[in-house]
Amino acid sequence: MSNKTTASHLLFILFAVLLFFNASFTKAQTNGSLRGFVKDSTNGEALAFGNVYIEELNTGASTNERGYFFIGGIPGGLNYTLVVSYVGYQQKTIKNVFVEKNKITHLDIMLAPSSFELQTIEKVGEKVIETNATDIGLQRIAIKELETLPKGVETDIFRSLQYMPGVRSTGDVSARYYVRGGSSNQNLVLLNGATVYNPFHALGLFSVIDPEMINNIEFYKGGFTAEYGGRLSSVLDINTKDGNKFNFGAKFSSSYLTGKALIEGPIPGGSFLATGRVSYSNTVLKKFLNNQNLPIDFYDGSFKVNIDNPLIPNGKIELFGFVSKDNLDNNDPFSEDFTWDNNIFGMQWVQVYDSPLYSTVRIHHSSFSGEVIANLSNVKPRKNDLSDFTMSLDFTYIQNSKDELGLGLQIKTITTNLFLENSAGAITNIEEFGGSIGLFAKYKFLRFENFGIDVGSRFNLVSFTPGGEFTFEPRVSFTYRPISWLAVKGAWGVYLQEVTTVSDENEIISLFEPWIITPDYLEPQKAIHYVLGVEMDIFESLNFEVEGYYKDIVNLTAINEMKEVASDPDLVTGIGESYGWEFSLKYNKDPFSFTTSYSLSWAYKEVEQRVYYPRYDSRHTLNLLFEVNIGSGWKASAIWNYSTGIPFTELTGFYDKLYFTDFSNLNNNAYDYLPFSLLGDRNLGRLPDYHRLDLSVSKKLQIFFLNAYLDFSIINVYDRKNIFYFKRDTGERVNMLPFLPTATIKIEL
Amino acid sequence: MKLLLKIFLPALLFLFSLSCEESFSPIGDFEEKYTLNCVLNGNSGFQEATLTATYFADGKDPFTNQTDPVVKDAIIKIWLNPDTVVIMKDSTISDTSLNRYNTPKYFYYIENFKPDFDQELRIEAQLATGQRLIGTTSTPKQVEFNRRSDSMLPMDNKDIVELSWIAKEADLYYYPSLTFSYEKEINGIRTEHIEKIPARYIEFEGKTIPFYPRASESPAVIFERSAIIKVLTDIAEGVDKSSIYLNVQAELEVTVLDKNLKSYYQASIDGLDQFTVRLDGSDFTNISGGLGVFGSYLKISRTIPISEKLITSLGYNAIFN
Repeated sequence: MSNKTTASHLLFILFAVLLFFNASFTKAQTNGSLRGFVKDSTNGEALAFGNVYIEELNTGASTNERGYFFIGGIPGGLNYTLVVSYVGYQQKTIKNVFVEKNKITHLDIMLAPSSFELQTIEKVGEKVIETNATDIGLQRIAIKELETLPKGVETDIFRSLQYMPGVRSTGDVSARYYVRGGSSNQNLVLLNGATVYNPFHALGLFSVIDPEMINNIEFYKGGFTAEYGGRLSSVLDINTKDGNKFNFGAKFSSSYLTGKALIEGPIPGGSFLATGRVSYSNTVLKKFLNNQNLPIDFYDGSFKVNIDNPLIPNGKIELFGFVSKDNLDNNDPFSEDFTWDNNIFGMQWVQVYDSPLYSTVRIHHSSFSGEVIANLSNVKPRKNDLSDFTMSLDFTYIQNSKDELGLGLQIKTITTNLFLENSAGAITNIEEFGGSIGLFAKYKFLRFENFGIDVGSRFNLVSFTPGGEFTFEPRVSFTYRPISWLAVKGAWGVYLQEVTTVSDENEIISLFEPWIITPDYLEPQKAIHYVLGVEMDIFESLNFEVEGYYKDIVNLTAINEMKEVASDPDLVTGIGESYGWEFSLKYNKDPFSFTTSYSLSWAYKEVEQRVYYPRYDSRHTLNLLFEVNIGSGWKASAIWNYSTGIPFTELTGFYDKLYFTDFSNLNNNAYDYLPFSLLGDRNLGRLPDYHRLDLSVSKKLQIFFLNAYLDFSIINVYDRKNIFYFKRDTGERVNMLPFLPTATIKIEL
Repeated sequence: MKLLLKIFLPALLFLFSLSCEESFSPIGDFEEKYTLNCVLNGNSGFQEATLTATYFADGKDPFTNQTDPVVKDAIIKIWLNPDTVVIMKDSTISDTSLNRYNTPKYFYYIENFKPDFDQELRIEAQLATGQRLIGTTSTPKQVEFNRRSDSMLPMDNKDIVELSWIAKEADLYYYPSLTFSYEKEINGIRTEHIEKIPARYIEFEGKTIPFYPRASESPAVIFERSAIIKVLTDIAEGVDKSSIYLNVQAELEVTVLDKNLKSYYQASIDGLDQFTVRLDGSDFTNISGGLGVFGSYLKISRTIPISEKLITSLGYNAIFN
């Protein structure tokens, strides 16, 4: 199909959708609509994923990531009773809300937090409201749920994700996560819409995202809809807080590893927030690295300033920034040093119009830079720079029938530089610049209470790789609820990825994953997701979900292990396949909360005609989480993880390898022969099973005008010797985290 | 609360019972392979090869193996530019200290076989079992010193001395070494000494440490003027300067590794930082049907005069050898 024909088809489809949409809207002129924002009454923070429910109509809507809700198709000229609820907040009932005919009634709603002692998870009306939400594979984490995340050494969003079925890690030492058999570079991490390319501190031990700055998180394990693109496996969409709109405030906290501060407050027409975190002790890091000293310093910081749009009412402009930097300084000219950083700066303009239209304009710049500085050591230098400049424009139009139309445009440019030398001494020196223009269109058919479907596609007009141009990425996601407590959900989609990392799968701790644009000699990576699941809300407090998935990947990039000279390609392609079942059961009855998840999964890769299990393939994974609100400010939780052993490559013998001992004396046979291990087929063996129990107790104290939060945790309570890896040259076993008590304290002013 | 205790206490006790370390062996099925190593020296007529088998040790530590894995009675042939073929002989060195198995060192050798630049070579080892290991390599194409290099140590009005060479192919590997010789007279007896010149000196933890050029792909090497002066100055430490007789001709020697030897060497030094953990070791072989390396190296050298003005200013005697 020619480019011109493809573009014509696209325009026709868009026109047809708009025509249909407009027709539907014209029919509903006697109805009114209700919209607004749900916010925290103490600080004005948006409350994402809350519920707004109209009692008389037995209908409602959930708030989006900005706390915005829109309920269309309400018979106009009448008064209604609204019930508004949100996790960790007191439910609010608002009587006599008058909805005018043919108009949009705007109502901002403030919710008061539940007192700590009485705090319960209130989600009244949720089952009714979300009957047709097309949200398979989506996990939403709201502001209050973030506060209850396990603390451990350092509260970490990425590590918390690993408790979800279908998400796993390769051990305690890394915060990298792998979703449904996909590699870590297939996960998209967005911070206020901007891509974070290397979101890790300290060799990947922790993520750079400080939970204190987060308002809400949406995490898609697969089957994500058309507004997201550029990655094959998952999307982690993080939105930061706006800052306190009413009062100035500050929070300080300290753990074994870091000190943190947050300041926030009102400004004319808006608010601001700034956070900072800095490491001050490396002692606890030794526990992660087999008692090896890790002389690393890191910090991260963020700010956000948001003001009401002075030109157009009902609009908000946000400016934000995020920086993170790690320095590993050996202070020895004969040893290597490392440095890596992320920098993100951007703005967002969010606008609610007089019609049921909602738009977001984003402009941001995200960069990553990492370098291994060899100094005078024998270490091979490595350097990677990436600069991403993105502009996007998204529209959401909500009909009275509840159907939604989403349209978007994204323009992105990426510049990458990569210098490295592989083990055979072959140099990689890449300087690339690429641009992409992509569109997406989707239609959410939500007019029936028991059925919803989201149909859409991305269209790549200009692409980073020749093979990606003029390609469609169609996606469908649906929910069907035959009876009130049972929902059948599914998703199917095509996903392209045109940036990749040049990373070695055999490095289980690596300094960074260098990013490049997929070279022109390769086709872009492509995945197809098939997801089908059932959700059962058996009782008010008991939820059970089952999801099955199949993911097929072609053009999967892998490092070229046969590269011997600079002109050899850096990457080769293969295929990937993963499938499995995920089960989760949640029981939530004050004061207890119990969550269990189990996944049965398989993952394979085939590269250079060799089929193998990737390092993150584990057959069975079981997570148990128990929380109890003891009262008087006390809370306790226990988490137990179990997973069957991950693959490793077995030793199949040794041979005496020739080493050069002295180049200046080669004539005199300055060689030595030392044992070198011979490895079998890749990842054919399995390490022993992994399991670990963590306990945590927290207490809130009120000291005059201060709120103090104390948290005491024990990691690996029964000191399980979970194997991390064995040393190839000696066979010595290296274990993961031992029994480790930790504590954190947080003070709020 | 009692109910909770009834449920969780047994569970916790069960978990504690799992806390002990599981026995685990990383060893799979033994794989028998053979290793052929032959590194040809283009500046010598004597060439050597070794042939060994893979082995398993008791436990996981390979150093516990006490059985020499050498493979004897193989027929090893080397072809030079397809039409010349030689057969290696075998021999042993009775000095057992040369072998970590404390047995006489068994090896294959050939005499009067001296490859030159730009030659095609092939090796074939036929084991007593009939199994064959085959490797090919090419000696480096001609490498010559660059006439535009600096011509004196040190150059007047320059803080560095840059010495370079030109190769007719890429992806070679070079090890440069710059030395000078001198005689030291003590009690009327002159003894000859040879000293390497460092590229520079590093100050670290209160010490001054020489840093010598390393093997690399770079067809050039740089020496700091201050390093040249310091190494020349230091040889007179503790003795009368007039007792030093310095040869005015320093010698630059460059060892040139062919592509296969370069890849093998690079893989053997690994080059990984101290924190990255790799599950496999980097390895390279160009031996078809087995492991090891078949490669070659040659050396080129030239003399470079040391500034007589400098020698005089240091108070040494200049000699012309």
